[in-house]
Amino acid sequence: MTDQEIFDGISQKDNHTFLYLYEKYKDRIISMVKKNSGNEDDALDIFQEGLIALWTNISQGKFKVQDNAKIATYFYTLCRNIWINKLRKSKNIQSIEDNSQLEDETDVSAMEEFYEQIKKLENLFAKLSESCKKLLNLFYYEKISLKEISIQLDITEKTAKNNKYRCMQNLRSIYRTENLGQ
Amino acid sequence: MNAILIENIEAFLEEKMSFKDLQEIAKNMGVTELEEKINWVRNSSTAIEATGLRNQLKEILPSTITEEAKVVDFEPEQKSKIGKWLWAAASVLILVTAYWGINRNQETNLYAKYEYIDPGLPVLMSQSDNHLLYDALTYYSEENYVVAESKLLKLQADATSNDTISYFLGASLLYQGKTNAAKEVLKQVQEFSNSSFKQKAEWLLVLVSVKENNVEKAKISVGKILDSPTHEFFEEAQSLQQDLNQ
Repeated sequence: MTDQEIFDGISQKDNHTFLYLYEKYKDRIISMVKKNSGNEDDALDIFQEGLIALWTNISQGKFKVQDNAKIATYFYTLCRNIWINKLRKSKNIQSIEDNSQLEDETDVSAMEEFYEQIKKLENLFAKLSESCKKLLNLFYYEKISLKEISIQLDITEKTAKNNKYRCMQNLRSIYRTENLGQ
Repeated sequence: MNAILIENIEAFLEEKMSFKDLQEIAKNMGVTELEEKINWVRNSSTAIEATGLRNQLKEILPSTITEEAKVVDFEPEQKSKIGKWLWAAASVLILVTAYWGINRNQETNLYAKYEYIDPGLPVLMSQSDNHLLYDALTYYSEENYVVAESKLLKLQADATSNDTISYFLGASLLYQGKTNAAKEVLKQVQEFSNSSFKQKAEWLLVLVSVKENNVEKAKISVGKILDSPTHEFFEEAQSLQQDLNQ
């Protein structure tokens, strides 16, 4: 797959692309994690988090295909940094045994920062009621229209619209409470 | 932030509205405040989508965790305490399962009534150019859907599009109850207009909706099958439609 195909595949949340990346890079990520106090399960988690971090940045236009570095290099560096952060949080870090292939990691730091912001919001989303999570998931992830959602949930379209607004307000309210508490 | 503003911000994020038009609608708001709200809607919707993606990845990526790795070795004196807790947890689980089971009974019965287990292809290794596919389909025909899934996933990642791989992968996922992933993969079979698996995949997609208790979706999918009287699952679709309408 070319870089452009990988970029488009990730952007469209295409399973073929995810599986291609998995087959191509899992051994390298497992090796990096194993060399640095982790195991295969950790590596699978990190692979998944790396994909989410990359998708998050691609979907928001914060990462574009570049001539000077392969998308896989960014993906690998993201995985490595996410693992370092995880080790730091568990205070289990020594010096990490790995050589980065990126000369300048400024871009990756910005990508990581954005991914961390999104991850915090994901944790807040998890605190919503099951009905809110279901409705918002149908709308934002499955990209189903409010009309179609109303059929699926056996409610009127107006109720679906009102509930979506109420759920977003709940999320904002949790966000504000948590932010004020910090 | 009211509902109309959220909708307009979403229209702006989907490039259906200019920033100038959005400013006009939110004219009581300063640029900084408006930008903060845009960022919030953008990031929140991304986070919701990321949660969905996380679940999607959990379904499609093979697990590297071995069963042995999950075994926790407790000390003998801890066993009795833990045993009591396990019994208590098991009792609660039985009660919850019983309650859940009563509610889900109708759905389960309907799925069981119309379940179609494809036995697989009678491929002989000597006749197959692709030994990996032969291997995967052997596990499939032995109803070892977990191993079949991981082998078919690998083939799917390596190969160019192939309706046989997609169909049997979709079936393996469905039989394990992984309906979301099954749906994604079975839809790919529809893209092959001349596929001999097309009609079977259509029926399995109906079963996905039945398993998910999504009656409306099941009705729509059944309706499509009933549009073609020569469909190999026409009779089953007729009967299921009657059950769905009851």
